Amino acid sequence: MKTFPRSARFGLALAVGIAGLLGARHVAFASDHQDTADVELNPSQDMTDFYAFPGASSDRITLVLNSWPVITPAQTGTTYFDPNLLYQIKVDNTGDAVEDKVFQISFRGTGASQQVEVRGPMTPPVVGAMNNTISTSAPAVSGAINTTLGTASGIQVYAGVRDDPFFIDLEQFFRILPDRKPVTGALAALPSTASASAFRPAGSAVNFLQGFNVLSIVIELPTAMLTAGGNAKIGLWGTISR
Amino acid sequence: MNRITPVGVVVASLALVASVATAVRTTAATTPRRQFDIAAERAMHDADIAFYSSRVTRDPTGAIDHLHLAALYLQRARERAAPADLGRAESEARMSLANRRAHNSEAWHTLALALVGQHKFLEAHDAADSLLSADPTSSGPRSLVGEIDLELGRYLEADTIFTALDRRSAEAPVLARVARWASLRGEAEHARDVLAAAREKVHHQAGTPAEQVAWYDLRLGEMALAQGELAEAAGALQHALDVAPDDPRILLALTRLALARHDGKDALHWANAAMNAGEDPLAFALASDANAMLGRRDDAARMFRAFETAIKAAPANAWHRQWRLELLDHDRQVPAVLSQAELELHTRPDIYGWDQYAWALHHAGRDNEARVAMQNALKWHTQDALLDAHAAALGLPR
Repeated sequence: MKTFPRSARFGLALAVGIAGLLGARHVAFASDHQDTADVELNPSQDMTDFYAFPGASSDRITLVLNSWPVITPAQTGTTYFDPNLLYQIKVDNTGDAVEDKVFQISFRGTGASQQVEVRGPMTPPVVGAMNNTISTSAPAVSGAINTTLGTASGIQVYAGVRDDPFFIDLEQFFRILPDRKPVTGALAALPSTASASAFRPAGSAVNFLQGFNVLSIVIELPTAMLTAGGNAKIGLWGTISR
Repeated sequence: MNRITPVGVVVASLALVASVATAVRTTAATTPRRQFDIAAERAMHDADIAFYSSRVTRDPTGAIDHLHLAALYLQRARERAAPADLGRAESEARMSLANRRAHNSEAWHTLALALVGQHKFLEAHDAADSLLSADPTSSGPRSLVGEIDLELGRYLEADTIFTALDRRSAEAPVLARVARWASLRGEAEHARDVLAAAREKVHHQAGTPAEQVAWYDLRLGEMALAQGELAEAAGALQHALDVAPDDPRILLALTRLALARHDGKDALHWANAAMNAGEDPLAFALASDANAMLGRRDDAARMFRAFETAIKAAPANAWHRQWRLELLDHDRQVPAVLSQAELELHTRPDIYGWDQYAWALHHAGRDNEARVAMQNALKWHTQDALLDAHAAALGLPR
């Protein structure tokens, strides 16, 4: 039961792409759970969200790459990162939308003893989406999943199961889209045009993702390790590739 | 009356095959098998049922959680032969569809499977038709409609569907249904080849529940049993048992195999195991047969009384055919079974419906009518030791 029916796929793309604006108290987000049939059938390579926000101090930044959507509490103990995938967080610090630095995150083994290896930030071995290769350099941080690794003054890493922080009133979303209106039952009497034009207010809305978990890769580090040439503005995005 | 121990009673429950939709990650035909922990899977399913139950309470107007809950109940019904879970699956699927019918074809699928599991074939056909309307190009929905056609005795309609789907590239559940169709048409060798191909696919498919993996070996075993290939049946059932050691359906099949081998002791062992693992009253009847084979008349009578008590809990029109055949073989409730068999023919004039009716007529002492009915059961040339035995008892050539 790790896959949603396709009809329930979250093809929402609420904010595709991401730009973390350093120095501002913005929480940028994107969410695209189960956006294609391929990733729906292979949840390990389904990146649900990528977040960037200020770290524990004003000179640090936190990056979060989430994958494997809708893990139920019962599935939590048996869901792990795919050791055959390469997870990457890419950084453009020159404003040309081409990565200048990259984190490469990979995993060894499966099960509770799975190990994470984080390489970077470093010059990308390959630029672009295709033909990714993993760097031959030694990992900057490595160790067991579900553990906080590294140092608070340098690079800190956590990889493991966390509560899905994204929220959406998904059933209300289906009411906003008229072609998903129920044709029987209590909601059938609603007009065939859109029966709602906005999400329900706080107190009435139901967060569909409440209670579900995801696999998170969290990296916190000094912002200066990502910027270059005095330019505080950077672009950030994540990829998962085979 | 002649007392016949059926070698193999084919259980028409192919629709309980999962809609396997996980990616194939390993393709080599003989690569190492997956390791299974069915106990852990069951525990997870129980926990997920609790999780999604709380979610539908929190937001009963949604469709997705009801659908997940329906699928989980359906899975649990398969794993434990628990009929109440089939009713729950049907109810949850209907609630999902009530909340959202558009873009909710998986709920139609789950509903159809839950209905087939309860032998509500006409309703299941309607649900499968709705699924097919929503997804007209996929082979899965078409094969499901075809499977239900087979159950309803609509063989010409099924022929049209399965002739087009008889390709090795099809998904495992589709192949399993093709195999069932071929088997009923008397193409036993082709049926086993196709089912074996389906089994290979499933064994290398990540994410398929262990119960469903075991089901393919169970079906191979049942098919071999029906064709009198007892050694082959034993091998296939052992494979199934390795994956799902306490699956009641596998234990019942092993009981039937032991009875076919006239091994009363072994049959009693498996029947007892089936009694402990599931809720199918058939286990009591087969235990009765095993005891009779061992010369334990009192125990045999006691077990059969338990069987009759257990099936009273189900409405008579929902009795499984295997239960009815057991009653007939013990000359119990013959008029009631005959009446049910005759009534059922109005909606399910399939091979085993005619066979059941013929056998009831035979036990009612109406052999001339029984022979006419049996001719209808035999006209598709199905290779099945049960049909052979019944035909022989009626003096019909095979």
